[in-house]
Amino acid sequence: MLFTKSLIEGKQIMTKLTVSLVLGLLLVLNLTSIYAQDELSSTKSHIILIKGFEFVPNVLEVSVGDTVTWKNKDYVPHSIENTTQLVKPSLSLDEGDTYSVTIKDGFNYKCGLHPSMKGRIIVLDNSEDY
Amino acid sequence: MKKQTFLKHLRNLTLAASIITSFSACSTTGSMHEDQLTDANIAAIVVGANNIDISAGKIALQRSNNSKIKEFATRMITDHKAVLKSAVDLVTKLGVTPVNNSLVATLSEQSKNNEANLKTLSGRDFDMAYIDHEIAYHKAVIGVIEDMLIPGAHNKQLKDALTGVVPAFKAHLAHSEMVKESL
Repeated sequence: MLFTKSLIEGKQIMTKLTVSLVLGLLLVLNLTSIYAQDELSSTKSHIILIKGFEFVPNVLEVSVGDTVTWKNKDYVPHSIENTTQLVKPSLSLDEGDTYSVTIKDGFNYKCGLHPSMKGRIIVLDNSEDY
Repeated sequence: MKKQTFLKHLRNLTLAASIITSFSACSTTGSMHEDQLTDANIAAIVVGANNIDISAGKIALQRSNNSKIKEFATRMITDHKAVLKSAVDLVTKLGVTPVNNSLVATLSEQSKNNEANLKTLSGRDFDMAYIDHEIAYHKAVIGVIEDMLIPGAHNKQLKDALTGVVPAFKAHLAHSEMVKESL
């Protein structure tokens, strides 16, 4: 009789432990998922290639907080300058060099070495919590 | 016919400056038919055209006191050296030795005369002559590359390289026109 009662109690404890473990696992998975979604949705990275004396793409739509990286694929140097001083001008970028900025607002820019090369960053939204 | 096209473009180069030694890296004048450009001739024209503008830029750095002219000249020297290196690397890889022809000799002679003219000028006269030459030079070279060299190139890599260099010359042309407007 006592043996049967102990057996039943043991099974109940095991069941509770199993449920707790499953719930805990689900909670961890859920938190991980939420964190991952946050990571994915918060900022994006964009690349603008400099090739053939053009910015490709020369017009780019981004969100505040996104990162934009220019990469020089030409064998002559180029640079990034903007007329509104929103972004610190880059140094001369040799072939393969990159220059990155975190976007706070939209701006027009040009190559400081070849002023006919022009581009534009357009901000689609202005996040309040940035 | 091709020679006439070339000479038409060269008429834009009356203010251009250069030295005959621009082509010193090339071998002696070839005996090819006047109307038939070889890849070796094209290589010689590319080498010569870049050396012409490097040379003109060096004269500008010596004779001009205008910061915009000096900045532009520095840019031309840097960029045309890079284009020249790329061209030399390619023809070396392809095993092509640049060979001058009569068209290269004509370009070289006109450039020599124009460079001599530039060396007689100073101040604003020099600046205007130099930038006018740069505008004419880049217009002429773009025309030569698009109308003669690209269609005439036999090797695909050489043809692609010529196509790829056109945007550089067009950017330089636009830049030279901006500089002239600012003078």
